[in-house]
This record gives sequence, C-alpha cells and structure tokens, in this order.
Amino acid sequence: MAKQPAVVSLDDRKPLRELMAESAARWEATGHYQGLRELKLKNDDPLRYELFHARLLSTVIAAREVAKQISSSVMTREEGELSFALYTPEGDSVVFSTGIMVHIGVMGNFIKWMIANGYEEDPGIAEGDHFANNDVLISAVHVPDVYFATPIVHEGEIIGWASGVTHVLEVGSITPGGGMTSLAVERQLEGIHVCAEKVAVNDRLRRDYELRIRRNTRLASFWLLDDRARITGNVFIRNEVKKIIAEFGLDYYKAAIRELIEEGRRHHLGRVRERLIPGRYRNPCFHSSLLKERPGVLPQANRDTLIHYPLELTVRPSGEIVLDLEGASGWGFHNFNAPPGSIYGGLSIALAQTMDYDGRANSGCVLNVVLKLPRGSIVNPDYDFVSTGFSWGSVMAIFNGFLKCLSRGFHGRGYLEEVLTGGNITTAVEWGGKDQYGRQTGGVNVEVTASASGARGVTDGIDAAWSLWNPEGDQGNAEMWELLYPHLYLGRRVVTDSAGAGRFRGGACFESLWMIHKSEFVFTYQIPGVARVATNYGIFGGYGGGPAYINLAKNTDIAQRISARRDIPHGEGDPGRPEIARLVKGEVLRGEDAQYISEPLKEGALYEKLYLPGGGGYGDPLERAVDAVERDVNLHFVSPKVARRLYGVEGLETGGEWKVDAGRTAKLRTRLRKSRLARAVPVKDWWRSERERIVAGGIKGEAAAMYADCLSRSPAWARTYREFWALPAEFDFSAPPPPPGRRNRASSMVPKR
Amino acid sequence: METYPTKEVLKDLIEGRLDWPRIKQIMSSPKDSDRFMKYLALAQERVKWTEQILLPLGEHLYIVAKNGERVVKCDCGQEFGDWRGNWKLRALIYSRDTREKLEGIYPGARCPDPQWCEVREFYCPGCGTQLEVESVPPGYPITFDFLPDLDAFHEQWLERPLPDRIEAQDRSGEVIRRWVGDLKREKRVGTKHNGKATGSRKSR
Ligand SMILES: [Zn+2]
Repeated sequence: MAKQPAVVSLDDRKPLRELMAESAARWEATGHYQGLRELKLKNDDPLRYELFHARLLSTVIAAREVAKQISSSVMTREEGELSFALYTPEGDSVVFSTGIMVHIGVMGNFIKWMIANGYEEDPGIAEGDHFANNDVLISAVHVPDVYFATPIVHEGEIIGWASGVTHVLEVGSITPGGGMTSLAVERQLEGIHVCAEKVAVNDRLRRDYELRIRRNTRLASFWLLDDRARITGNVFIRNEVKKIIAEFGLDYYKAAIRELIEEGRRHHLGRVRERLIPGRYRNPCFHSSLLKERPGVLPQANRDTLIHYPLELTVRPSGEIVLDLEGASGWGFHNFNAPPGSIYGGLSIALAQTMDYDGRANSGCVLNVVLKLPRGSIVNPDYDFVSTGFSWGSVMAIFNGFLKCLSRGFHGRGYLEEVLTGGNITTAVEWGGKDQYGRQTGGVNVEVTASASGARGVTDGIDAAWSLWNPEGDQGNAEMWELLYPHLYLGRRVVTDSAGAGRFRGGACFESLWMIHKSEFVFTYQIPGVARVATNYGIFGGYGGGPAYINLAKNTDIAQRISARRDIPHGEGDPGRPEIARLVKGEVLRGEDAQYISEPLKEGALYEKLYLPGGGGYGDPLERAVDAVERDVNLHFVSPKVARRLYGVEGLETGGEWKVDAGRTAKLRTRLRKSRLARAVPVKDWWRSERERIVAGGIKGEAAAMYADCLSRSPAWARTYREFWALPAEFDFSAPPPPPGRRNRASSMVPKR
Repeated sequence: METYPTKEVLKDLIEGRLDWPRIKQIMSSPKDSDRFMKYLALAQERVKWTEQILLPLGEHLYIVAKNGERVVKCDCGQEFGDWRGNWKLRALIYSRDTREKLEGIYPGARCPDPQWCEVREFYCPGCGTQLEVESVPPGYPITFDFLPDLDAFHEQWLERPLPDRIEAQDRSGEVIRRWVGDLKREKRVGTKHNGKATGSRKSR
C-alpha cells in the first residue's frame, strides 16, 4: 500500500461523521492513527505530555471509584463489575479505568454506531445528554452490561465522550431474570434491550425511560441506581476534562489525545516484537450447550450442541496479529452466540492484560489486529434475533485459548513470567422467584468474578481469584449476597483437586453451598456451564480442569439437623462421598442434570455450585516440586489420592500433617514414567486406527453434528480436516440437519469500524 | 552493564525458585532486551547434546540446527524431525477416550463424556515426559500448536539472520502422505496392519 503524507487538521468544526471518515481515510493512507507520523507533543515536551496522560488516566480511575459509591448492587459496589473510559469525538478510546475493561473498545463502537447512524441530526447530541445501549447487534457484549455514553461539549463543539459500563443484576429476562440463563434461546427472552437511546437529558434520567425500567424489571432499583452511577462517573470525567482543557489548552488537548492513541499503536507493535515470535499459533476450543428435553426450553432449541472455535493466530513479521476463526460452528438457538462486538471486547481485555497493560492502553492497541470472523458462524451470526445472553461463554473459551497462543510466544522468548495458561471458563447461578422479604426477585450471583487463573511459566495460577473479563474482580461479601437473594451460605471454600495439574498448577477454583432460606418459591438456573468437556487444557504437558457441575438436595432435614446442633455440610469434601449426600437426608441430584429444575426450590433445599474448571496447568505434573505438592495437600487443595496419581508424590499423615516420603516418591515417579511408555502407541499407529474409526462412522452424536456443520460451512477448514485424516473429498459425517431458521436474512445493523 | 534479571536470577526464575515478590518485581519492570540470548545460553548449558538451539519450543523441546536442517529435539536427545512437520506426529500418544481412562484424571462427577471429549497425552519416546496434552472431541485432528517463522524472527526481529533460509511452511501434510503411502504398500504386500488404537504399545 502506498503511504501518502497526510496533513492533520483537527481545528475545523466538522460533523462527527466527517471526522470519523477522515480518521479512517488517514489510517488507510498512512498506516498511522490520524496520519500521525511523528509524536510531536511527546518529543517537544515529554514531561508535559506525561503529566497530561497521568491527569486523564487518574480521572477515569477516580470516576470508577466515585461511581461505585452511587450503586447499591453487590456486583458493582463489591465485585467491581464496572469500568469507565474517555473517547475521542469519533469514538476511539484514549484512556480507561480498571474493572470490566472488556467493554472499552465495544463502547467505542457504540459511539461510532450512533455517529454513523446520524445521531447528530436526530435525536441530536448535546451537553447533558446520556445515551444508553446494551444491544449486542449495535455494539455490546450481552444484555446485563449496560453502557452509558456522554458527550463532552466545549463551547458548542463535541470534543469527546465519557462512557461507563456496569453489569446490572436483573434485566427483566425470562425467569430467573439475569439475562444469562440457558432458557433465553432467542433475543426476545433476554430481557430489556436499550438500543442506543437518549435516556437522560440535562444529566437527569428521562421519566419515561425510568418508568420502562420500573415496569419491566424485577429489581428496578438496582438497575436505576446503576444508571445513576454511570451518569455520575461520566459527569465526573466530563468536568475533569474541562479542567484539564483549561490547564493545557484546547488545541493541546485535541492533538494530545490523538497522539496518545498513535503512541498506543506503536507501543503495542513494540510489545509484539519484544515478546512474541512471528508464526502461526493454534488452540482449538470447545463448549457444550445442553438443552435437549430440559424443562422450559423452546422447541427450536431442543438439542445438545458441541460448539467449535478453531482459533488460529498468526503473528506477521510486521507485528500485525491476525485472529482467525475460520471453521467455527454456526450460530444456534442457544445463548453462546458471540457477535463481533463481543469478540472485539475479548481481544481488548486479553491484550490489556498481557501486552498493553502499561504505556498507553487504548484504541491504538488493536489497530494492528485483524479479526477474521466468518459470517453466519457463532462469532458473526447472520440472524437479527439471535440470543447472546452468554456470549461470554464463547468469549472466555476463545480468549483463554488466545492467552495460551501468546504464552507459547512468551515462552519462546524467555519471558516465562508472562506466560498465562487459560483460566476459568465457568459460569454463575441465576436466582429468581420470591425473595426472603416476600417480593419478586431475580438476577444473578456473579461471585465467579473471582474464580481461578491459569498457571504462569514460573509459578502456580491464582486460587479463587481472577477472571478473564475482570482481572481484579472480587467475589463480593457472602453477607451482601445473603441480603439480596433468599439463600444463606453454608460454605464457600476452595474445591479440592479442581486445579489443572502441572509442574506449575492452575489456580484452584472455589465453591459455594447455599441453603434456600425464607422462601417457598425459588427458581435457580445455572448459566450454561462447561459440561461433558474438559476444556481449557494446560500447556507443555499440564492438564486443564474437569467439567463443571452442581449438587442439589431437596426436601432435606437440614432444619432439624441445625436445631439439634448436628454436623451439616459446608462443602463438597470428597467428591466420591459428597457432604451434601452424607450429612443430610433428602433427595440428592448431582452432575449436569441438577442444574435444570422442573419445580421451584423451597426453604431447606441445598444448592452447591462448584465453579469448575480451575485454571490450566503448565508442564509435566511429574516434575512438580514435591514440597509444593505437600503444601497443596495440607491446604486441602490437592487430595493425597491425586498427589499420588497425577503428581507421583507419596506421603503419610502424621500428627495432622501430611509429609512427603521422598524415597517412595522417587520410585513412584520412575514407575509412572515407565507406565506411560508402556501404554502409549506411536502417533502413526493411533492415526491409522482413528482414521478407520472415522471412516466406519465411529464418531457419533453431537461430535458428528459439529463436524458436519463445520465442514459444510468452511471449505478451507474442511480441506484441513480431510487432509489430516487422508479422507476423500466427498467424505462427510452423517448428522441431523442444523436447527430450523438458520441462514436467515443478513443484518446490516453493525457499522464497520 | 548487566541487565536484570541476570543470567543467575533468570535460572532461578525458570526453575521456579523465586518467590512471588521477586517474580512480581520482574513482571513490573521493563523487559531486558537481551533476555532471549541469556535464555538460549542457559538452555544450551542445560542440554547434554551440542547442536545449536534456535528456539525453545516447550519445557523440554527445542528447535535445533542440525546438518543444514532444523529439527525438534528433546533435552533427552530424542529427535522429532523437521520443525515444520508437527513434532506430535513423531511422539507417542495415549488417548483417554473411554470413561475408565478419563477417570484416571477426572474421577466421578468431574469426568468428561468420551463421546464429546477425549484427553490426548503426548509423550517423548526417549524419556517418557508428558510434552503436551490436548482435550478435543473424538475425531479431531492433532493440533499443530506453533509453527514459528524462524527466519523472520532471527533476521527481522533479532537482526541476527540464520546462516540459511528455510521457508516456514506447514509440512505436516507430507508426514501424513508418507503414512498413507506406507498403508497402501502394506495392503499391496498383504501385511494386515494390526491396528488397535490405545492398547499395548507396538514396535515402532
Ligand atoms: Zn525426551
């Protein structure tokens, strides 16, 4: 591409749509953001430039802290599920706060969408206006994450935007109400969509909007206080930006915010060259949607689906990264559909955590990343009424894989401390029905925001902390959750043997055991979990965690046991003999079936959610330091059984402490290594017999359906598949047809970036 | 001036001997631009063989220069052929594709469904190290995790070009075609392949 010199003029007052088009043209022509070949302000007076950046950054961080104090939701106040950012007039992020950073780029695209759709003329953009959106096909991640964008107007000119997001507890969706339940298989079941609407004027929420929220949600006060929290954060940013302009001057402000973005772009490219290796990285990921014959599921969704995300990452010698999902499953009548906006969000947060965390994390960092998302697939659905309630499921699977791809690069360069094998790909539980105060309730307990990280290349993953979408998330106090929903915590503890084994193990996840309290009418629904598949495998010989499940006990004698002061369950304990089955009498359900209830739960029922899987491991478990295994056993993070079987460590409990037996450990490890060699076969032999199995129709059920879908969708992926197994071009899988309504009319609602 | 972490500290870091505050300090500091060279030197000191390491590919695997070729080699000395051919195709495999085998890792309620998922363990034939684990549906191709563009890396990024250029093109298809050829030949001469996937180990 021939690069032409571009003259940057930002002084003219132009419609935002023109500014946006000019910015795109300059990028096309020069490969520099806004055509900025030089970082003039930085070079002329670096101290002033740094001061300016620090002022902006501290503003958005402070806005998040201020907004937290307005919200009354556990999620926003305690878990920190909110984030704020400052944008250029064209919708490019300049600085952003911590928190659910995944939304930063996505909110920018929401601003761009309004500009592209003529919002300046109608409904008009003025000081004091606030625009709201949670519509994924405009630009969002899923319904509960509500965005507010606020123009910043200086002497009649729009000089930027403040935008904030919080995850609201309850969104008026189908029961239970948090908008992420697997019952929401089409858009109309997801709850209230606010579609790029002007919801506040003169910094006050409109009365008609407020009425709509009150009339259509079960916990309206939480939603509406979160709205006020976002307005507060945005107004805080707006006011501070005006002070900064008064101090630095308008011209400096306009030029510097753009220079910061171009610097972000260069910084990102520098990081790629510093830490990665050019080449091709692959990490296929999978998810399961289990809806077949489940209570409450609509006919078109009555099927189980194995979902395929064939992630391929190419790092070009130029430093450009191409993320390709060619061959991905088609979209479906389940809520894992993840339109481009959500993938873009996953990309931003994955990069912000691994490469672009300092320097200038902003829109510039993703300018040299190309997304290839096949139209009609789960990552780019061509159906306007697709459900996206748990787009997160897809985003987590893909971007934990993405982290592992990057980690292979970090490892190759020797930056082992940056390696981060994928973390938790888990889910939460929604609660609905009558609460302990006799009112209608609903929503989601998202304590999973602190679950488990993957292993590092030099140390273990973090236990019961970290999530992809919010790296510094918190579980929220149990007491606060108890105030909100009709459940009491009998226990909240680390799940033994949940971490992916490895020389460095993944983080161990936690579990919560709830007792239904003061209600006879409680709906729970687990947001679809990773069932049937062990996803998120480790790296370099480390394992991933196993599938997720819950335990449920109904009609129990827990009340009598409590009044008689007898032992009650506090956690699962030995999964072979769970406390919930051992310590109470009642009807016990375990595994994936337990998450689908056909009747409301009542006082005394016990619900135990294990936030599996834990993080992925790093390296061969037989090489783990024995003292680390000893510590894990004594903390009950690892059972003696797993210590022996996966880590090859023998020990004995004496005086309440488990001690390693070094001699027997060394022998066991040698034996385990030998037994590997004895049971394994050369890949060539395995390939032959697997090929015979495929040709003979040995791949059945949902796996066959997945292959049939992906082979028909993508000739390129089909070629790779048939080539690997040396199958003829006409080879195909016999599987039931895709769900009705596929390949519906295409949407043109999302504007190009 | 010596950069930080020094080679000695880097050795401790790699071997997992640093505590979290010291790891954190390294993570929070600007990266040492000579890390790769220190890292390569440490790797070269660690292995018993003498071929030049071009790139570490895993905890035990390296791409090394050998007689004008670039091959994947385990620190135990086992070789896995051309780096573009996916080393996994020359490894040993144990696929946990039944409930019983999966329960060895994920017992009871935590066991995946073998119709949906199998766990493949790749071992080094030389030393029995578990080099990589895959968790994929049955019938899924073996993943070629990482195909580095060695020449672009050494020439354009490190500015230390390798003596000869070899295009980083996926050659795993050639390995498969050789297998197909063997299969056809065996059929022609009437030796029936005794193929049971994950039973006892056969001669190679
Ligand atoms: Zn070896």
